[in-house]
Amino acid sequence: MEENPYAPSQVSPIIHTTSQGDVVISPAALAATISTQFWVKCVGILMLISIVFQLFDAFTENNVSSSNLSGPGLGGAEGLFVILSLTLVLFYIMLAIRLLQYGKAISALAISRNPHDFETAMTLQTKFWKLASILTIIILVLLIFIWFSLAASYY
Amino acid sequence: MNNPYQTITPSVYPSNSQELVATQTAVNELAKCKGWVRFISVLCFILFGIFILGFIGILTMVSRMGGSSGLMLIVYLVFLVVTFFLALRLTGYANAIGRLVHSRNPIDLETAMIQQLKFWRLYGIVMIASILIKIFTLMTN
Repeated sequence: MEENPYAPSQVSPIIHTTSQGDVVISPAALAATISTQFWVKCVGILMLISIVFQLFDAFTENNVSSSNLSGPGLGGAEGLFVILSLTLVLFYIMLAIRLLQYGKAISALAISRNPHDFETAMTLQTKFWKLASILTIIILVLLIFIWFSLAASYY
Repeated sequence: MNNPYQTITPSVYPSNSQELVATQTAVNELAKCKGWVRFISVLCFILFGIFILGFIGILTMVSRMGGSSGLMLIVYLVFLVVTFFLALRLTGYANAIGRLVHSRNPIDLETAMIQQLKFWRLYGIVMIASILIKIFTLMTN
């Protein structure tokens, strides 16, 4: 029987998928994902380091403002900024943990080259961006609240 | 018999059963991520707009005060450029994910991963620089 020159295995589709919905991860895509690992972990660790600086700043501002401030309303401002600083510290910790989890998932992918590990990495990444967006909204609302509080106390 | 219509499979996309794939679940997660990434990128562009207004203010100050505000001008310019490129990278990432979801093309996944890498690399460099500046400021004070 003559060989069928149009057998499916000889046709190279533009979209390379193995099963329905799966997408082949090219070596370049995999290399980029693995390279991201270092920077993601770096940012996560730097976030934790910057928490120390933020606590230092909050403490220093608290000491300065309590010794220099006078007049009504300004003591409330000091309290609001301390609350904001502590809130930022908490948010940074949460984001740093998510980032380090993402970095760890990429490490696992780099070793195993398992589709499940890529799935885990993408899930953790989505969680990070969702958390970052929600925390950003909370910070913006807090800042608007602080701004209005300061304006109200000043007038 | 040689097949005259046989296409050449690019070596970058191996057709064997051992290839690594992004499963439907992974692609769905990326699709969910797109909205959040785009939200942050829009905020970055808004921040960029605010920095532009601040830059105009600083320029006005510099024209009145002279050299001592020059450093502030440079710092602001750096903030402007960095914020713009961070927003650009995130937008590129979100756009690539959008294309991937529709096309399921490995090239789009590649583009998305490269844009993500570029974002984290830039953000990492900015954070390292910020921490170093902070340490320098604390030591000089």
